[in-house]
Amino acid sequence: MSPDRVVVTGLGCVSALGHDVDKFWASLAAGRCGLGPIDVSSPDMPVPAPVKITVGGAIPAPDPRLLIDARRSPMLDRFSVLAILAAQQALAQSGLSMDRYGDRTGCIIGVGVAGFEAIEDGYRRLFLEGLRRTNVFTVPRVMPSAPASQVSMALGIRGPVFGTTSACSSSNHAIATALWMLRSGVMDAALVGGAEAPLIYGVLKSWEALRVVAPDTCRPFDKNRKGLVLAEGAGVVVMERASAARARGAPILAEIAGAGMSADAADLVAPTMDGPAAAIRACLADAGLNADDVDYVNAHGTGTVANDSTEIKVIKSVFGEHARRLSISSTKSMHGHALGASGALELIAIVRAIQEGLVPPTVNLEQLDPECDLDVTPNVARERPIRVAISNAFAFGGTNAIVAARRFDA
Amino acid sequence: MNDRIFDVLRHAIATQTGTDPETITPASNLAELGVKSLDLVEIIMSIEDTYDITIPNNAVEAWDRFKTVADLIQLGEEFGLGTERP
Repeated sequence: MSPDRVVVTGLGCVSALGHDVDKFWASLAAGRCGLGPIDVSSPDMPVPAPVKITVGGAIPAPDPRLLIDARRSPMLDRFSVLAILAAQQALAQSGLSMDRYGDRTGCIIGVGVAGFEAIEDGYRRLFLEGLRRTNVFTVPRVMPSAPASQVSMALGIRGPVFGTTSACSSSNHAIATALWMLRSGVMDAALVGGAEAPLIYGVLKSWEALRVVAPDTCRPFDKNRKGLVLAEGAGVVVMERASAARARGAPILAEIAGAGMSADAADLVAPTMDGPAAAIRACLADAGLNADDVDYVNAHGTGTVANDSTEIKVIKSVFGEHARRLSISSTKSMHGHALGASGALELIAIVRAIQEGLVPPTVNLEQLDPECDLDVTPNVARERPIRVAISNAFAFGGTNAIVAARRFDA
Repeated sequence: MNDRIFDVLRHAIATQTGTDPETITPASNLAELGVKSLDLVEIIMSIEDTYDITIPNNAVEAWDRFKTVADLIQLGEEFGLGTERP
Protein backbone atom coordinates (compact mmCIF):
# COMPACT_ATOMS: atom_id res chain seq x y z
CA MET A 1 0.00 0.00 0.00
CA SER A 2 1.43 3.39 -0.93
CA PRO A 3 1.75 5.84 1.94
CA ASP A 4 -1.02 8.33 2.49
CA ARG A 5 -0.68 11.68 0.72
CA VAL A 6 -0.30 14.77 2.89
CA VAL A 7 -2.44 17.84 2.31
CA VAL A 8 -2.76 21.39 3.59
CA THR A 9 -6.09 22.31 5.16
CA GLY A 10 -5.37 25.63 6.85
CA LEU A 11 -3.06 28.63 6.56
CA GLY A 12 -2.14 31.36 9.03
CA CYS A 13 0.48 34.09 9.16
CA VAL A 14 1.55 37.39 10.65
CA SER A 15 4.16 39.35 8.72
CA ALA A 16 5.35 42.73 7.53
CA LEU A 17 2.48 42.47 5.05
CA GLY A 18 -0.19 42.35 7.75
CA HIS A 19 -1.91 40.23 10.35
CA ASP A 20 -3.44 37.48 8.23
CA VAL A 21 -3.08 35.39 5.06
CA ASP A 22 -5.54 37.46 3.02
CA LYS A 23 -3.49 40.62 3.58
CA PHE A 24 -0.27 38.68 2.95
CA TRP A 25 -1.50 37.27 -0.34
CA ALA A 26 -3.11 40.54 -1.48
CA SER A 27 0.27 42.24 -1.10
CA LEU A 28 2.14 39.46 -2.89
CA ALA A 29 -0.36 39.51 -5.76
CA ALA A 30 -0.14 43.30 -6.02
CA GLY A 31 3.66 43.38 -5.74
CA ARG A 32 3.53 45.56 -2.64
CA CYS A 33 6.73 45.73 -0.59
CA GLY A 34 6.23 45.65 3.19
CA LEU A 35 9.77 46.74 4.04
CA GLY A 36 10.43 50.17 5.49
CA PRO A 37 12.16 52.23 8.16
CA ILE A 38 12.59 50.57 11.55
CA ASP A 39 13.70 52.14 14.79
CA VAL A 40 14.50 50.00 17.80
CA SER A 41 15.78 52.87 19.95
CA SER A 42 13.86 53.62 23.12
CA PRO A 43 14.13 56.36 25.73
CA ASP A 44 14.01 53.58 28.38
CA MET A 45 16.99 51.80 26.89
CA PRO A 46 20.05 53.94 26.27
CA VAL A 47 22.50 52.08 24.03
CA PRO A 48 26.22 52.70 23.58
CA ALA A 49 26.18 52.48 19.78
CA PRO A 50 23.38 53.25 17.36
CA VAL A 51 22.08 50.57 15.00
CA LYS A 52 23.17 51.12 11.41
CA ILE A 53 20.41 48.85 10.08
CA THR A 54 17.47 51.17 9.49
CA VAL A 55 15.29 49.12 7.11
CA GLY A 56 13.32 46.04 8.05
CA GLY A 57 10.09 44.12 7.77
CA ALA A 58 8.21 45.07 10.91
CA ILE A 59 4.65 43.89 11.56
CA PRO A 60 2.29 46.86 11.21
CA ALA A 61 0.03 48.08 14.04
CA PRO A 62 -1.71 46.88 16.11
CA ASP A 63 1.05 45.28 18.17
CA PRO A 64 0.49 41.50 17.93
CA ARG A 65 1.02 41.21 21.68
CA LEU A 66 -2.21 43.12 22.22
CA LEU A 67 -4.08 40.37 20.37
CA ILE A 68 -2.98 37.65 22.81
CA ASP A 69 -4.69 36.57 26.03
CA ALA A 70 -3.20 39.01 28.57
CA ARG A 71 -2.72 36.25 31.18
CA ARG A 72 -0.54 34.31 28.74
CA SER A 73 1.51 37.30 27.59
CA PRO A 74 4.23 37.41 30.33
CA MET A 75 5.24 33.84 29.42
CA LEU A 76 5.66 34.62 25.72
CA ASP A 77 8.58 36.05 23.85
CA ARG A 78 7.54 37.84 20.67
CA PHE A 79 8.22 34.85 18.39
CA SER A 80 5.79 32.76 20.45
CA VAL A 81 3.15 35.50 20.27
CA LEU A 82 3.45 35.47 16.48
CA ALA A 83 3.36 31.66 16.30
CA ILE A 84 0.16 31.49 18.38
CA LEU A 85 -1.60 34.10 16.22
CA ALA A 86 -0.63 32.28 13.01
CA ALA A 87 -1.60 28.89 14.45
CA GLN A 88 -5.02 30.16 15.58
CA GLN A 89 -5.77 31.31 12.02
CA ALA A 90 -4.61 28.06 10.44
CA LEU A 91 -6.57 25.91 12.88
CA ALA A 92 -9.71 28.00 12.37
CA GLN A 93 -9.53 27.61 8.58
CA SER A 94 -8.95 23.86 8.82
CA GLY A 95 -11.87 23.35 11.21
CA LEU A 96 -9.81 20.70 13.04
CA SER A 97 -11.16 20.18 16.57
CA MET A 98 -8.44 19.69 19.19
CA ASP A 99 -10.99 18.29 21.64
CA ARG A 100 -11.60 15.51 19.17
CA TYR A 101 -8.28 15.11 17.33
CA GLY A 102 -5.70 16.70 19.70
CA ASP A 103 -4.08 13.36 20.66
CA ARG A 104 -3.30 12.58 17.02
CA THR A 105 -2.17 16.12 16.14
CA GLY A 106 1.40 17.40 16.39
CA CYS A 107 3.05 20.81 16.30
CA ILE A 108 6.48 21.45 14.77
CA ILE A 109 7.68 25.05 14.58
CA GLY A 110 11.01 26.10 13.12
CA VAL A 111 13.03 28.82 14.82
CA GLY A 112 16.28 30.29 13.55
CA VAL A 113 17.74 31.20 16.91
CA ALA A 114 15.73 31.82 20.09
CA GLY A 115 13.58 34.27 22.03
CA PHE A 116 15.62 37.43 21.69
CA GLU A 117 13.56 39.78 23.88
CA ALA A 118 14.19 37.76 27.03
CA ILE A 119 17.89 37.33 26.24
CA GLU A 120 18.37 41.04 25.81
CA ASP A 121 16.23 41.92 28.82
CA GLY A 122 18.15 39.42 30.98
CA TYR A 123 21.57 40.74 30.00
CA ARG A 124 20.43 44.31 30.49
CA ARG A 125 19.27 43.52 34.03
CA LEU A 126 22.44 41.65 34.94
CA PHE A 127 25.14 43.69 33.22
CA LEU A 128 23.72 47.19 33.01
CA GLU A 129 21.25 47.48 35.87
CA GLY A 130 23.17 45.30 38.33
CA LEU A 131 20.08 43.31 39.34
CA ARG A 132 20.55 40.02 41.16
CA ARG A 133 18.31 37.94 38.94
CA THR A 134 16.61 37.68 35.60
CA ASN A 135 12.88 37.39 35.09
CA VAL A 136 11.62 33.95 36.11
CA PHE A 137 10.27 33.40 32.61
CA THR A 138 13.65 33.91 30.91
CA VAL A 139 14.40 30.24 30.24
CA PRO A 140 10.91 29.27 29.03
CA ARG A 141 10.71 32.41 26.88
CA VAL A 142 14.12 31.96 25.24
CA MET A 143 14.02 28.25 24.43
CA PRO A 144 13.79 27.56 20.68
CA SER A 145 11.02 25.05 21.33
CA ALA A 146 8.89 27.73 23.01
CA PRO A 147 6.74 28.60 19.97
CA ALA A 148 5.88 24.93 19.41
CA SER A 149 5.12 24.26 23.06
CA GLN A 150 3.21 27.53 23.52
CA VAL A 151 1.07 26.77 20.45
CA SER A 152 0.38 23.30 21.86
CA MET A 153 -0.68 24.78 25.22
CA ALA A 154 -2.77 27.54 23.67
CA LEU A 155 -4.63 25.22 21.29
CA GLY A 156 -4.64 21.86 23.13
CA ILE A 157 -2.35 19.94 20.74
CA ARG A 158 -1.32 16.73 22.51
CA GLY A 159 0.64 14.71 19.91
CA PRO A 160 4.33 15.11 18.94
CA VAL A 161 5.41 18.70 19.73
CA PHE A 162 8.90 20.13 19.22
CA GLY A 163 10.92 22.85 17.50
CA THR A 164 13.34 22.51 14.62
CA THR A 165 16.32 24.77 14.11
CA SER A 166 18.60 25.25 11.11
CA ALA A 167 18.94 29.04 10.80
CA CYS A 168 17.19 30.28 7.64
CA SER A 169 15.88 26.86 6.60
CA SER A 170 14.29 26.03 9.99
CA SER A 171 10.73 26.21 8.65
CA ASN A 172 11.46 23.91 5.75
CA HIS A 173 13.07 21.38 8.07
CA ALA A 174 9.89 21.56 10.17
CA ILE A 175 7.67 21.04 7.11
CA ALA A 176 9.80 18.14 5.83
CA THR A 177 9.83 16.47 9.25
CA ALA A 178 6.07 16.82 9.57
CA LEU A 179 5.54 15.45 6.06
CA TRP A 180 7.52 12.31 6.77
CA MET A 181 5.96 11.81 10.20
CA LEU A 182 2.47 12.18 8.72
CA ARG A 183 3.28 9.70 5.95
CA SER A 184 4.63 7.26 8.56
CA GLY A 185 1.33 7.35 10.41
CA VAL A 186 2.60 8.48 13.82
CA MET A 187 0.15 11.40 13.67
CA ASP A 188 -2.82 12.39 11.53
CA ALA A 189 -2.42 16.16 11.50
CA ALA A 190 0.09 18.81 12.51
CA LEU A 191 0.40 22.56 12.90
CA VAL A 192 3.66 23.29 11.18
CA GLY A 193 5.66 26.38 10.37
CA GLY A 194 8.15 28.86 11.72
CA ALA A 195 8.45 31.98 13.83
CA GLU A 196 11.06 34.69 14.32
CA ALA A 197 11.21 38.16 15.84
CA PRO A 198 14.73 39.50 15.25
CA LEU A 199 14.09 43.25 15.09
CA ILE A 200 15.81 43.79 18.43
CA TYR A 201 18.87 45.90 19.24
CA GLY A 202 21.41 43.16 20.00
CA VAL A 203 20.27 41.00 17.09
CA LEU A 204 20.47 43.87 14.63
CA LYS A 205 23.98 44.68 15.89
CA SER A 206 24.95 41.04 15.27
CA TRP A 207 23.64 41.18 11.70
CA GLU A 208 25.30 44.54 11.21
CA ALA A 209 28.62 42.82 11.96
CA LEU A 210 28.01 40.28 9.19
CA ARG A 211 27.75 43.05 6.56
CA VAL A 212 25.06 41.25 4.58
CA VAL A 213 22.12 43.55 5.31
CA ALA A 214 20.97 46.01 2.65
CA PRO A 215 20.95 49.72 3.53
CA ASP A 216 18.10 50.49 1.11
CA THR A 217 15.77 47.58 0.44
CA CYS A 218 15.70 43.96 -0.69
CA ARG A 219 16.38 43.67 -4.47
CA PRO A 220 16.81 39.99 -5.31
CA PHE A 221 18.42 39.24 -8.71
CA ASP A 222 19.11 42.95 -9.30
CA LYS A 223 22.55 43.94 -10.53
CA ASN A 224 22.73 46.49 -7.70
CA ARG A 225 21.41 44.29 -4.90
CA LYS A 226 23.05 45.12 -1.60
CA GLY A 227 21.92 42.39 0.74
CA LEU A 228 19.02 40.95 2.67
CA VAL A 229 16.45 42.80 4.78
CA LEU A 230 15.57 41.29 8.15
CA ALA A 231 11.92 40.82 9.04
CA GLU A 232 9.73 39.42 11.77
CA GLY A 233 6.84 37.06 11.28
CA ALA A 234 5.32 33.64 11.69
CA GLY A 235 3.61 31.24 9.36
CA VAL A 236 1.74 28.10 10.38
CA VAL A 237 -0.10 25.63 8.17
CA VAL A 238 -2.27 22.66 9.09
CA MET A 239 -0.90 19.55 7.39
CA GLU A 240 -3.00 16.39 7.42
CA ARG A 241 -3.00 12.88 6.09
CA ALA A 242 -5.28 13.06 3.06
CA SER A 243 -7.41 10.19 4.35
CA ALA A 244 -8.00 11.95 7.66
CA ALA A 245 -8.79 15.26 5.97
CA ARG A 246 -11.26 13.58 3.59
CA ALA A 247 -12.88 11.62 6.42
CA ARG A 248 -13.80 14.81 8.25
CA GLY A 249 -14.72 16.71 5.09
CA ALA A 250 -11.95 19.29 5.49
CA PRO A 251 -11.12 21.97 2.89
CA ILE A 252 -8.05 20.74 0.95
CA LEU A 253 -5.93 23.64 -0.31
CA ALA A 254 -2.97 21.78 -1.83
CA GLU A 255 -0.80 18.72 -1.37
CA ILE A 256 2.65 18.75 0.21
CA ALA A 257 4.21 16.49 -2.40
CA GLY A 258 7.73 16.07 -1.09
CA ALA A 259 10.76 17.43 0.67
CA GLY A 260 14.52 17.15 0.42
CA MET A 261 17.45 18.06 2.63
CA SER A 262 21.22 18.29 2.28
CA ALA A 263 24.19 20.07 3.77
CA ASP A 264 27.03 21.87 2.01
CA ALA A 265 29.65 20.79 4.56
CA ALA A 266 31.77 23.64 3.24
CA ASP A 267 31.89 27.33 4.14
CA LEU A 268 29.90 28.87 6.99
CA VAL A 269 28.25 31.55 4.86
CA ALA A 270 29.36 31.18 1.22
CA PRO A 271 26.87 28.96 -0.64
CA THR A 272 27.93 26.00 -2.76
CA MET A 273 26.14 24.65 -5.82
CA ASP A 274 26.32 20.98 -4.95
CA GLY A 275 24.51 21.18 -1.61
CA PRO A 276 21.43 23.11 -2.76
CA ALA A 277 21.23 21.11 -6.00
CA ALA A 278 21.30 17.85 -4.04
CA ALA A 279 18.47 19.08 -1.82
CA ILE A 280 16.27 20.06 -4.79
CA ARG A 281 16.93 16.71 -6.47
CA ALA A 282 16.12 14.90 -3.23
CA CYS A 283 12.86 16.86 -2.97
CA LEU A 284 11.80 15.98 -6.53
CA ALA A 285 12.67 12.32 -5.94
CA ASP A 286 10.73 12.26 -2.65
CA ALA A 287 7.71 13.74 -4.43
CA GLY A 288 8.02 11.40 -7.40
CA LEU A 289 8.32 14.40 -9.71
CA ASN A 290 10.34 15.06 -12.84
CA ALA A 291 12.10 18.40 -13.19
CA ASP A 292 9.67 19.46 -15.94
CA ASP A 293 6.65 18.92 -13.67
CA VAL A 294 7.63 22.07 -11.75
CA ASP A 295 6.10 25.39 -12.85
CA TYR A 296 7.14 27.80 -10.08
CA VAL A 297 10.19 28.11 -7.86
CA ASN A 298 9.86 30.35 -4.82
CA ALA A 299 13.56 31.13 -4.52
CA HIS A 300 15.56 31.50 -1.35
CA GLY A 301 16.37 34.82 -3.07
CA THR A 302 17.74 36.74 -0.12
CA GLY A 303 19.10 39.62 -2.16
CA THR A 304 22.72 39.01 -1.18
CA VAL A 305 25.25 39.07 -3.99
CA ALA A 306 26.42 35.52 -3.29
CA ASN A 307 23.06 33.83 -2.84
CA ASP A 308 21.11 34.98 -5.86
CA SER A 309 23.61 34.29 -8.64
CA THR A 310 24.53 30.93 -7.10
CA GLU A 311 20.86 29.99 -6.75
CA ILE A 312 20.20 30.72 -10.43
CA LYS A 313 23.18 28.51 -11.37
CA VAL A 314 21.79 25.77 -9.12
CA ILE A 315 18.36 25.99 -10.75
CA LYS A 316 19.95 25.76 -14.21
CA SER A 317 21.99 22.73 -13.17
CA VAL A 318 18.98 20.86 -11.71
CA PHE A 319 16.31 21.82 -14.26
CA GLY A 320 18.45 21.98 -17.42
CA GLU A 321 16.49 23.29 -20.43
CA HIS A 322 13.29 23.40 -18.37
CA ALA A 323 14.84 26.19 -16.24
CA ARG A 324 13.93 28.67 -19.01
CA ARG A 325 10.25 27.68 -18.76
CA LEU A 326 10.09 28.04 -14.98
CA SER A 327 8.59 31.00 -13.22
CA ILE A 328 10.90 32.04 -10.38
CA SER A 329 10.45 34.75 -7.78
CA SER A 330 11.69 35.90 -4.41
CA THR A 331 8.80 36.95 -2.20
CA LYS A 332 11.42 38.07 0.36
CA SER A 333 11.48 41.26 -1.72
CA MET A 334 8.06 41.95 -0.12
CA HIS A 335 7.91 40.20 3.29
CA GLY A 336 11.64 40.39 3.98
CA HIS A 337 13.84 37.67 5.40
CA ALA A 338 12.11 36.37 8.49
CA LEU A 339 14.94 33.86 9.08
CA GLY A 340 13.44 30.76 10.72
CA ALA A 341 9.94 31.84 9.65
CA SER A 342 10.76 32.47 5.99
CA GLY A 343 10.08 28.96 4.75
CA ALA A 344 6.64 28.93 6.35
CA LEU A 345 5.67 32.28 4.82
CA GLU A 346 6.95 31.03 1.47
CA LEU A 347 4.98 27.77 1.76
CA ILE A 348 1.87 29.88 2.22
CA ALA A 349 2.94 31.87 -0.86
CA ILE A 350 3.26 28.76 -3.04
CA VAL A 351 0.01 27.21 -1.78
CA ARG A 352 -1.87 30.42 -2.59
CA ALA A 353 -0.02 30.72 -5.93
CA ILE A 354 -1.19 27.21 -6.86
CA GLN A 355 -4.76 27.96 -5.74
CA GLU A 356 -4.93 31.27 -7.61
CA GLY A 357 -2.86 30.39 -10.69
CA LEU A 358 -0.75 33.48 -10.04
CA VAL A 359 3.02 33.77 -9.63
CA PRO A 360 3.88 36.53 -7.13
CA PRO A 361 6.65 38.80 -8.39
CA THR A 362 10.14 39.78 -7.34
CA VAL A 363 9.74 43.48 -6.57
CA ASN A 364 12.28 46.33 -6.32
CA LEU A 365 13.91 44.93 -9.47
CA GLU A 366 15.35 47.75 -11.57
CA GLN A 367 18.21 46.18 -13.51
CA LEU A 368 18.41 42.40 -13.84
CA ASP A 369 21.82 40.93 -13.00
CA PRO A 370 23.06 39.27 -16.23
CA GLU A 371 24.06 36.31 -14.05
CA CYS A 372 20.40 35.89 -13.04
CA ASP A 373 19.08 35.48 -16.58
CA LEU A 374 15.99 33.35 -15.93
CA ASP A 375 12.37 34.49 -15.58
CA VAL A 376 12.42 35.93 -12.06
CA THR A 377 8.94 37.52 -12.51
CA PRO A 378 10.11 41.13 -12.25
CA ASN A 379 7.85 43.52 -10.33
CA VAL A 380 4.46 42.30 -11.62
CA ALA A 381 2.66 39.05 -10.78
CA ARG A 382 2.07 36.67 -13.65
CA GLU A 383 -1.03 34.55 -14.30
CA ARG A 384 -0.05 30.99 -15.00
CA PRO A 385 -1.59 27.64 -14.08
CA ILE A 386 0.71 26.05 -11.48
CA ARG A 387 0.67 22.29 -11.00
CA VAL A 388 3.75 22.09 -8.82
CA ALA A 389 5.75 24.71 -6.96
CA ILE A 390 8.86 24.30 -4.85
CA SER A 391 10.24 26.55 -2.13
CA ASN A 392 13.99 26.76 -1.57
CA ALA A 393 15.76 27.44 1.72
CA PHE A 394 19.54 27.56 2.04
CA ALA A 395 20.95 28.58 5.39
CA PHE A 396 24.16 29.81 6.96
CA GLY A 397 25.97 26.70 8.06
CA GLY A 398 25.10 25.08 4.74
CA THR A 399 21.83 23.47 5.83
CA ASN A 400 19.49 23.20 2.84
CA ALA A 401 15.84 22.14 2.78
CA ILE A 402 13.34 22.22 -0.07
CA VAL A 403 9.60 21.55 -0.05
CA ALA A 404 7.29 20.87 -2.97
CA ALA A 405 3.55 21.62 -3.11
CA ARG A 406 1.22 20.23 -5.76
CA ARG A 407 -2.27 21.25 -6.85
CA PHE A 408 -4.68 18.84 -5.21
CA ASP A 409 -7.01 17.17 -7.65
CA ALA A 410 -9.30 14.97 -5.60
CA MET B 1 -1.14 34.99 61.34
CA ASN B 2 1.24 37.75 60.40
CA ASP B 3 -0.59 40.68 58.79
CA ARG B 4 2.52 42.32 57.41
CA ILE B 5 3.61 39.25 55.49
CA PHE B 6 0.04 38.78 54.29
CA ASP B 7 -0.07 42.32 52.99
CA VAL B 8 3.21 41.97 51.09
CA LEU B 9 2.11 38.63 49.67
CA ARG B 10 -1.32 39.87 48.69
CA HIS B 11 0.17 42.67 46.64
CA ALA B 12 2.80 40.41 45.07
CA ILE B 13 0.08 37.95 44.01
CA ALA B 14 -2.15 40.73 42.73
CA THR B 15 0.69 42.19 40.67
CA GLN B 16 1.59 38.82 39.19
CA THR B 17 -1.94 37.70 38.37
CA GLY B 18 -3.81 40.95 37.75
CA THR B 19 -6.24 40.07 40.57
CA ASP B 20 -7.84 42.72 42.82
CA PRO B 21 -5.79 42.50 46.07
CA GLU B 22 -8.93 43.08 48.16
CA THR B 23 -10.34 39.74 46.99
CA ILE B 24 -7.33 37.78 48.23
CA THR B 25 -7.61 36.14 51.68
CA PRO B 26 -5.30 33.74 53.55
CA ALA B 27 -7.66 30.92 52.57
CA SER B 28 -7.47 31.76 48.86
CA ASN B 29 -6.35 28.89 46.67
CA LEU B 30 -3.35 30.00 44.59
CA ALA B 31 -4.37 28.09 41.47
CA GLU B 32 -7.86 29.58 41.66
CA LEU B 33 -6.29 33.06 41.80
CA GLY B 34 -4.63 32.24 38.47
CA VAL B 35 -1.17 31.57 39.90
CA LYS B 36 0.79 29.15 37.70
CA SER B 37 3.99 27.31 38.61
CA LEU B 38 6.41 30.02 37.51
CA ASP B 39 4.20 32.84 38.83
CA LEU B 40 4.69 31.26 42.23
CA VAL B 41 8.47 31.41 41.82
CA GLU B 42 8.21 35.08 40.80
CA ILE B 43 6.04 35.79 43.88
CA ILE B 44 8.52 34.10 46.19
CA MET B 45 11.37 36.01 44.53
CA SER B 46 9.53 39.30 45.01
CA ILE B 47 9.38 38.47 48.74
CA GLU B 48 13.14 37.85 48.60
CA ASP B 49 13.62 41.24 46.98
CA THR B 50 11.36 42.99 49.49
CA TYR B 51 13.16 41.55 52.51
CA ASP B 52 16.61 41.12 50.92
CA ILE B 53 16.81 37.46 51.85
CA THR B 54 17.24 34.19 49.97
CA ILE B 55 14.50 31.57 50.25
CA PRO B 56 15.69 28.17 49.00
CA ASN B 57 13.07 26.76 46.63
CA ASN B 58 12.74 25.35 43.18
CA ALA B 59 9.89 25.78 40.78
CA VAL B 60 8.61 22.21 40.90
CA GLU B 61 8.84 21.72 44.67
CA ALA B 62 7.24 25.10 45.35
CA TRP B 63 4.28 24.18 43.18
CA ASP B 64 3.80 20.94 45.14
CA ARG B 65 4.15 22.54 48.54
CA PHE B 66 2.28 25.86 48.39
CA LYS B 67 -1.42 25.58 47.64
CA THR B 68 -2.93 28.54 49.50
CA VAL B 69 -1.95 32.05 50.54
CA ALA B 70 -1.73 30.77 54.13
CA ASP B 71 0.97 28.29 53.04
CA LEU B 72 3.07 31.21 51.82
CA ILE B 73 2.47 33.18 55.02
CA GLN B 74 3.75 30.20 56.95
CA LEU B 75 6.84 30.12 54.70
CA GLY B 76 7.48 33.78 55.52
CA GLU B 77 7.09 33.11 59.24
CA GLU B 78 9.65 30.31 58.99
CA PHE B 79 12.09 32.96 57.80
CA GLY B 80 11.14 35.30 60.63
CA LEU B 81 9.60 37.85 58.33
CA GLY B 82 7.06 40.45 59.32
CA THR B 83 8.54 41.18 62.73
CA GLU B 84 10.03 44.36 61.30
CA ARG B 85 9.03 46.76 58.61
CA PRO B 86 10.51 45.73 55.28
